[in-house]
Amino acid sequence: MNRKRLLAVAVILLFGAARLPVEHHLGKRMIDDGLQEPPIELGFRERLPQIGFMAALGGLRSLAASIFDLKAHIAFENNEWFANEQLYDLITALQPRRDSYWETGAWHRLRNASGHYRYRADDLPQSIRDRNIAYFSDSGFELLDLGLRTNPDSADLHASMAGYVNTLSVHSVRKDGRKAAGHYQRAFELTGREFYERMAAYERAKLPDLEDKTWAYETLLRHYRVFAARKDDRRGVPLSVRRTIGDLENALAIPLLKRIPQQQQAAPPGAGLVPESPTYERLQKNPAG
Amino acid sequence: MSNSSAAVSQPEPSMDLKKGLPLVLSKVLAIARNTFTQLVRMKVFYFLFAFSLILLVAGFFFADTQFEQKLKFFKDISYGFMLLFTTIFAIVGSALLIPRDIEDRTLYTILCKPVTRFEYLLGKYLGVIALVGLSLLFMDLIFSGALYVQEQRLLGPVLEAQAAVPAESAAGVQYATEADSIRKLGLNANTQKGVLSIFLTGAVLAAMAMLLSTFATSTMFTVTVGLCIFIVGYFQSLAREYFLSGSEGTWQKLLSVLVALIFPDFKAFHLSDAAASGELIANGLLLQLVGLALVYVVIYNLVAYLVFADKEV
Amino acid sequence: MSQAESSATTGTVTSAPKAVEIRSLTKVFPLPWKKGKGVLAVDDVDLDVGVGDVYGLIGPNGSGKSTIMKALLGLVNPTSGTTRIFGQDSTEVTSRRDVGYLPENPYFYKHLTGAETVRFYAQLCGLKRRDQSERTEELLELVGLKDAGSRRLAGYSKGMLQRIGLAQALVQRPRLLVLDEPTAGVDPVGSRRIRDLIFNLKKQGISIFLCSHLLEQVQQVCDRVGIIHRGRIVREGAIEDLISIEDQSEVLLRNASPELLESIKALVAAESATELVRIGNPKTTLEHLFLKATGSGRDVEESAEDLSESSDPS
Repeated sequence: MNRKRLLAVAVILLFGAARLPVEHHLGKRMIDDGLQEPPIELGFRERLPQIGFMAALGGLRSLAASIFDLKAHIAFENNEWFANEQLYDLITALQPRRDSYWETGAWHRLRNASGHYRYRADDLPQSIRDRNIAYFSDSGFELLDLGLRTNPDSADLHASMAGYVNTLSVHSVRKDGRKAAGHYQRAFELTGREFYERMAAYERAKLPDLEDKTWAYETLLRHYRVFAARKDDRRGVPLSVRRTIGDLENALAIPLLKRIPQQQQAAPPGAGLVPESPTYERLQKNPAG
Repeated sequence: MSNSSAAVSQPEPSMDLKKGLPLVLSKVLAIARNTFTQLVRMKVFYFLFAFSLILLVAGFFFADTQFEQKLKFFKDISYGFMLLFTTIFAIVGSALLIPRDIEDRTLYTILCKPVTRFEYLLGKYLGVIALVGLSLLFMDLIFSGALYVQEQRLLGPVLEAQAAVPAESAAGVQYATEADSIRKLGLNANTQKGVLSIFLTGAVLAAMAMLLSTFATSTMFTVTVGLCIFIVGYFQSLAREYFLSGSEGTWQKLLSVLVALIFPDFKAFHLSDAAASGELIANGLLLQLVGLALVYVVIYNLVAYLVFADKEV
Repeated sequence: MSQAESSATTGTVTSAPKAVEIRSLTKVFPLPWKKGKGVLAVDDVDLDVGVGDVYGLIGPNGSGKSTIMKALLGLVNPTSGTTRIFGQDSTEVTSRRDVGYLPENPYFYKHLTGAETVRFYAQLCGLKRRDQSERTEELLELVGLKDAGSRRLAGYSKGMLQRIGLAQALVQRPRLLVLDEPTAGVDPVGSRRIRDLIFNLKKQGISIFLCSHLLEQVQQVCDRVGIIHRGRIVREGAIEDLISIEDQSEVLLRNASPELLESIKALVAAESATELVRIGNPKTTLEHLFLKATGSGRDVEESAEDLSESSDPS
């Protein structure tokens, strides 16, 4: 091999050595910035089809996840809930930082699968239906918990979890007020959206501890003052705020002079819906529907 | 041919030729322009039209998924196509050029002019990059247009609904979240950064393929090996991290260090997944990647020259 | 200061640089699978082409003609020896400013038109933009491709490709032209035109180094000839010197009467040392016959070699 070619080989190797630390640093930064997924756990290998595995190791994780997502949607449309479950396990393994995948996967399990077995699977014996309802509920919560552990700063996942465990809605899956309050509070901290803080307050208002009620009262009072100060808002203070403060004033024995003015009316239709939802608000105004 | 005696001109003084840098630029640009024209006239643009059609059809075809999935899927497919075509153009374009010039003896007529082998290689490379860049630009225009239309179609009803409810209400928050997600996944600066990252991949790939073609025995060899290097390049980071982690195993460490030293890290330039997901790509990081790509290109072209300099044609 | 001026000053005798100087050129193509062995393509060749000369290198296929040319043009690296163009080492890129090369069976970029091809090579030579168009037009006119200049080379015939090859070789007005089998595969009409062009270029003082195995053509155009066989120059010299049969004389007569011919025969018979080898009608050439028959030979001047048919054999 002549000198120039030997030099060529040397340049390639030296260049390779020089870029090792640079690329290492860049790769780490991209993972930290959420621009690339961390390396996939090799233990997951058995659960991935060949192409999925290659895509996972290579650069096509997003495309593979999208394609599996489409397949999962078809499984949803065909009521193939176990296939849908498996696919979302793959999808969330491929793109663990995409919170929408965790959310959608959990939604399918907690709402759609459970709902299917509850209301539609007439051909199955009741015992099997009950077993599957419980199975998909557990599976949904497991998925969401894993999603939250992987993405602790995802406001959407916190809000989503809170939605499934809140005590305020008939549609929640498992009522756990304290858990719901915690997730709503975290969602507020992450987004600054005051609606989430109020939801946390609604939950804590129902908890037995005085500390919770006091926190809820102070929080909702603060929000009340903000709403009351808005002269240009014809709606005024949301009914949920006013009503909950009223309940808390009673529970905390707030002196009469310090209480907020209440509008007297019967319990509105729509109770059991999430406060401040469009339907809730509409039914407050027009109980006939 | 004209009448020979009538066509004889008197002995001419030697021509007034360019010198120095203008001469070098003239030669390199002439070769680059010629290479670009050569590749374009291979009907490669027919693929672009096919790609555009596929994009437009794919974009509006997948209907009943949620908006996030629809936009993300559209972007994933589009970036995938762009990466695919860029890979093909970069590898095949570079692989064809030098072997064909040698086989057709066109190379003789070029190197017999006062053209250095480095100018020849550089001109060829620039021609391929021009094709890769312009093709990508064309695809990006179609993609961005389709994405914008999709985004507006999805955003319109959400904004309308959002305007009808108080911002502080549950519905208001929900619509605001949806609108933010649509915008994040829609057409914005990050979308274009994803396209730029594909161009950087193409630039490095073309330089690597050009290097291979300087010593390859055939075009097929260059294309096959080029594709293999491209694929291995996506796993190079695994080998690198294994080597740097100080894990056990002599043979494993030797293999991993060889892979890390020889193969380029194409995963470093892979930002299209992040762009498809709407993640924010910092300008500083992008500049670093552009710098890294430039270094790759310079080194590969230099090595190609070292290999090609003494090649007997 | 030129070499001639330098020699005048110093009093030493040095000649002006030749167009081509090849000294002890050897080229061995290594066999990768047989270390230390190789194919000896050129074996210790010395060769000069004077300024303004037309030098023909002839030899059978595989004798090393093209290898010598490629070594001169830097396309292959000599194993040993030197090659110079107008005194400059030919491995230097700058030496090629003065060289135009037409390879054997040239192919150019098929996607270019004739005009684009010439212009492309003009750009490679560094012609200024204002000169490129003018020179392109001039050369297309010269090689008779003005009307075909806008057609892509993919549609060109072999002869047309050869002519475009000549055009690109001449684009920067080189002082040396290197032609590798310039008329190979070209029909007689085209072949004659190329020959005439070579004559014209020679009149302009351009040195020409060509190789061919069409011996008759080499004989027509070249001043000096080298015969190469198995990589070695076996004969070399001025064409006239090489092809003269020294102990024979030739006299051509027109309209000689039979009586005159008998007188000549009798004169020769009277000389004991002289032998009458042949008397009869000389032959025309097939090329001349072809050109006359196809109507392309109207402009052909009759020369000593181009004789019309006559009837009476001896």
